[in-house]
Amino acid sequence: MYSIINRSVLSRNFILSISIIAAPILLLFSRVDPSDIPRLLDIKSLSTILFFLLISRGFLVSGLSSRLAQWIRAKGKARGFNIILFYLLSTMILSMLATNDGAVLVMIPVGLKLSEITGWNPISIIVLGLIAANTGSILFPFGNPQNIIIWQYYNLSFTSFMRTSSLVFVTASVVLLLVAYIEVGGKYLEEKVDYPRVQTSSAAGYTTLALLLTGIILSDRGYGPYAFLLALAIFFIADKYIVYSVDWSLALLFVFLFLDFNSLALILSRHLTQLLTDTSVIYLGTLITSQVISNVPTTIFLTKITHQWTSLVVSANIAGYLTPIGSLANLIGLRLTGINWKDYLEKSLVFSFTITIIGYIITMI
Amino acid sequence: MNESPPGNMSEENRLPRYARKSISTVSKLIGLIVPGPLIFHHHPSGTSVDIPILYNGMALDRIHFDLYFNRFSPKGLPVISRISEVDEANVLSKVRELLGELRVLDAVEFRVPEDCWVVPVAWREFIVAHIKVSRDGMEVVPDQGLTAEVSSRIV
Repeated sequence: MYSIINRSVLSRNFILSISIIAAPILLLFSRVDPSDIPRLLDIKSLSTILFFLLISRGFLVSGLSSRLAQWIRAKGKARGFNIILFYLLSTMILSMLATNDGAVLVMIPVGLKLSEITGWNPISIIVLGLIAANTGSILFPFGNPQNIIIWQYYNLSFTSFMRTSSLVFVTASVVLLLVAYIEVGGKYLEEKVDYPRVQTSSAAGYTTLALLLTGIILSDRGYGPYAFLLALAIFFIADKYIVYSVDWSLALLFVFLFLDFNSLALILSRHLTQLLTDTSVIYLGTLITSQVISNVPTTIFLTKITHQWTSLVVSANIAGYLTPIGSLANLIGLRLTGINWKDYLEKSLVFSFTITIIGYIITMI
Repeated sequence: MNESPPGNMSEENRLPRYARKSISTVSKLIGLIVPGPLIFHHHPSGTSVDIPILYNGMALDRIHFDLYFNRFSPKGLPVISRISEVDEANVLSKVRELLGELRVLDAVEFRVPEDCWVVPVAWREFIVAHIKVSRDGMEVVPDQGLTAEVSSRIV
C-alpha cells in the first residue's frame, strides 16, 4: 500500500514520540518511587486541561463560537479604526470563553476579509488577531493550559488568580490597541461585509454552556477530574461529534509532558531551587525556555521548582506572544493563513518588545 | 377562477425566492472561505487528498485535490496518487490561490431528508463542492462530522 508522508503530521508525531521515549528515562533518573507516578501526572491539572479542551470543542462544533462572533459583529457595525477595534475586542471575548485556539479558528478568516475590503496589510491584521486571541485567554484561570496548571497546582482561588492575570490582561490590551492604532489607524473606511449566519445546534450549545459553568465551580473546588468525566459522559450522550472533535493525541501529549517535565523538575530541583528564588530569573528564564519547548511544558516544569506563581502567570503568558512556538494559537493561525515565522516576528516585534518590558516591571512590583 | 393557494402551495410559491436567497447566501460567504488541514485517504493503489473548506470555523464540505496537477478535481472523482511525500504548506498555499477562483452556480437542488438547499460551487469546468443552506435560504448548514474531524487535526 502506498502512503503519503505528510511533514506536518510527522513533526507532531515526532514530538509525541520523543516525549514517550523520554518518559521512562527521566523516571529512572529521577529515582521516583513507582507508587508516586500518579502524583507526577498531576491528575488535577491534567483533567482540568482536558475538560476545557472538551468545552472549547463544544463551543466550536455546536456553532456557539460562530454565533457569538456573529452577534459581536452585528453589534459592531463600525467605521474607521472602530472596525479593527471590534475585530480585536470580539477576538478577545471569544478567546476568554472558547479558548485562544477556538477564537483563532473563527476570527482569523474574518481578519483576512477585513484586510481585503479595507486594503490593510493582511499580515498586520492576522498578527494583531493572534495577539488579541492570546490576550483574551490570559484573564480567566481556565483561559489557557498554562493558567490552568498554575491555578490548579497552587490551589488558587478564582479571585486571587485574577488579581494578577487582570493586570497582565489590561496592560496587554492597552498595548495591543495602541500598536493597532499605529499600524492601521487613521484610515477612514466603512465595513460593508454581510456575513451569512451559520446554523447552530442549540442543544449542544446549551449543554456546553451548562457544563462550562459546572466545570468552573468544580475545578475551583479542586474537583477537576469529576468535571472532565462528567463532560465526557454528557457530550458522548448529547453530541458525540464534540468528543470526536478533540485531538486525543494532543491529550496524550499532555499526559507525557506532565510525566517528563515533572520528572525533570525532580532531577534538577536541587540545583535550581536556589537560583529560582529571584523573580527576574524566573521571568527571563520562562520567556527564553518557552521559545524552545513552548510555554506549557515550561510552566509544568517551573511549578514544581518555584513558589512564585505570580511571576509565572506573567511570564508564561507573555512568553506566548514572542514567537509562533510560544503558543498553540499562533501555530494554528499561521497554518490557516500561510503566514511564515519571519512575518510573524516582524509584525509582532513592537508589541512583544513593549509587553516584555512592562511584564518585567509588573513582576518586580 | 381567482382562488388563493392552500398553505403548502404558498410555501411552494416561495420556493424560487428561497432558492435565490440560498444562492445569494453562498455567494456572500464564498470569499470568506479558508482551507482546513489536508485529509488523506489511503487506498491499495495510492493515496487521495481532500481539502476541507471552512467558514466561521465550521467545515462546509471537502474538495478533492489532484496532487499530480496541483488543482481541484471534480466532486465524486478523487485522484489517487502514488506521490510519496507531500509538503502540506505548499499544497495549502496553492489551494488558497485556487479558492479565489471558486464561483457559485446559479441553480440549486433541494434535499428533503436534510431539509436544506444544496448550492453547487464550481472551479473552472468542475463542480467541486456542495454547500448546504437552510430551507429559508438564510443560514449556511455546516457539516458537523467534518467540523469535528477538522477540529481534531487542526494543530
